Order: sequence, then structure tokens, then C-alpha cells
Amino acid sequence: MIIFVTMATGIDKAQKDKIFEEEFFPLMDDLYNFAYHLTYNEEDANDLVQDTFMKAYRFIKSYEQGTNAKAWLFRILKNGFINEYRKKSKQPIKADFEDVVAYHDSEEEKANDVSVDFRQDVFQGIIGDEVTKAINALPADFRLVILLCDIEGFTYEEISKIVDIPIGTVRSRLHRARNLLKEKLKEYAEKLGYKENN
Amino acid sequence: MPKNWGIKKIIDSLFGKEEAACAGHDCSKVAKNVFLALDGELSPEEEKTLLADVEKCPRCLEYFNIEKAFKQFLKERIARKTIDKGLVSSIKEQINNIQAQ
Ligand SMILES: [Zn+2]
Repeated sequence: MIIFVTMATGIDKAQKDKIFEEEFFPLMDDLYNFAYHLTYNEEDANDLVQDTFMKAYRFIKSYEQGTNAKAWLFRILKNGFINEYRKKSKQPIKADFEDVVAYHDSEEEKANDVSVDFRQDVFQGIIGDEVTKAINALPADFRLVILLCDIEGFTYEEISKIVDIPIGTVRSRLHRARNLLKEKLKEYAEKLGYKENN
Repeated sequence: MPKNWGIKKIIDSLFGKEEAACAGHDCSKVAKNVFLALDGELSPEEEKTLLADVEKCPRCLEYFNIEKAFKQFLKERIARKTIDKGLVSSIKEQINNIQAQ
């Protein structure tokens, strides 16, 4: 059996057009959605998406046609975001402590679990903007995994490739990110009258 | 399940040592797989086992439902943004222009 893996080396214009038209352009909304929730700013999101397509063009040789175009483009966008973010922001990108402890398998992990019941009525009063703000307030590394998993629905393996971290780290980072996010959303809910049911 | 069981209490007992073997399984192990199941990371076989575990244990069921509600909450609240039509044509034009060179 012959498996065709068309590496885009020396591909002609017609082939490039085809890749962009069939595989890349249909993902513009997804890329914009990701960019917007990463930056929480329309202009920055526009720049990021545009930049992503220019880079996709430049690096198209490293793209294997027919493979996961979405993950490939998301990875480019994420790299662009992290670079810009490093330049502009004083916020921490990384929660370095997470790698120090083998967090995932520790008993501590469970002890620190944030337990919030989002089925309660009070959470219906939290609007999307507040959720977006709460996600935006997370360190960038945590924001990334939440958006990729819970909003975009990537698998752990895809996230591991997009973010450049081992799958085990995807798992533990997601866990921490969700706890932090629950904590923030609980604060909103408390303003609306939420009381922990003890 | 008793009415006065708050979430915190459920979670506490979930991981409390003396309660660990309630339904003939280790609730904390089940809890670990709850995340993986909700994220679609279990094989169909593993998922079947987990769901059976969850169904026979009120604590694990409650935990499963709470985590599921959180995921749904996020998905429902985060509105998907769509890209500006002008930007779409501008990007397509730029790509075409580079290629024409
Ligand atoms: Zn159980």
C-alpha cells in the first residue's frame, strides 16, 4: 500500500491555493474565536489571525497536507500570542510551581479541589462577559488549556502538541486551571448571593 | 442521600479514608476518571466501566454531575465570536498577493 503524504516542498501556486481554500480559510472563525478569548480584544485578535495566516504561508513546507490543519494553525497562533504577550505584559505566563510538585497524582490535589455546584440558580445570573473576564484573569498558560479543551474541544494529545507540553502536564494544568476558574466564578456568584451549602 | 449533604461534605467524604470503599470501589480513583470521561479521554470500554461505577455510588454520581455542569456552564456562557468579513477578504487578498510575486 502506498501512503501519500504530500509534503508541501516546492508546491506550486495551485496547490497552495488549494490548501488555503480547502483547509485553512474555513478555520478563520475558529482562529478568531480563540484569538479573541486569548486577548479579550478585537484589534489584537484581528492582528493575531492575520499574522497566523502570513506565517502559515511562510511555513507551509512544514505542513503535511490532510493532517490536522486546525491544530497546526492553532499552534502558530498560540506561539504568536505568547511572543506578543511576553513583550507587552508583566503578568506571569507560567505557573512554575506546577512542575515542581507531581501535582496530578498527589492526595493534595483532591484536598485542594474547589467544589462549586454550577447547577444552582445563582449561576444562571452570571453572564458570558463575566465568564470571559474570569478566564482572562487567569495566567496565560491556564487560559490556553481551558480554551483549547473546554471551548474548542481539542483532545489532550492535540493540546499537548499545540501548547508544547507533555500530556500529563495538560491534564494537571487543566485541573488547576479549572479550580482557579471555579474560585473566580464563585466570587462573582457570592456577590449575587451564592452561599456554600454546608 | 441525606438532605443536608452539602457539596463540600460530599467531596470531603469522597476522599476521606474511612469512606473510601463505599460502593466496593475507591471513590477517589473514580473521581480521577470523571475528568477524563467528561473530556472525552477514556476509551469506550473505560467509559462504560466508569459510568457503571458512577451509577452505583451516589457520591460519585453527584461528583460526576457537578463536574459535568461546570463544563456545560462554560460552553454555554462563552459565546463564539465570528471574524469580520472585511478581515477575511483582506487576508485572502494578502495571501494571493504574496503568491503572485
Ligand atoms: Zn464512589
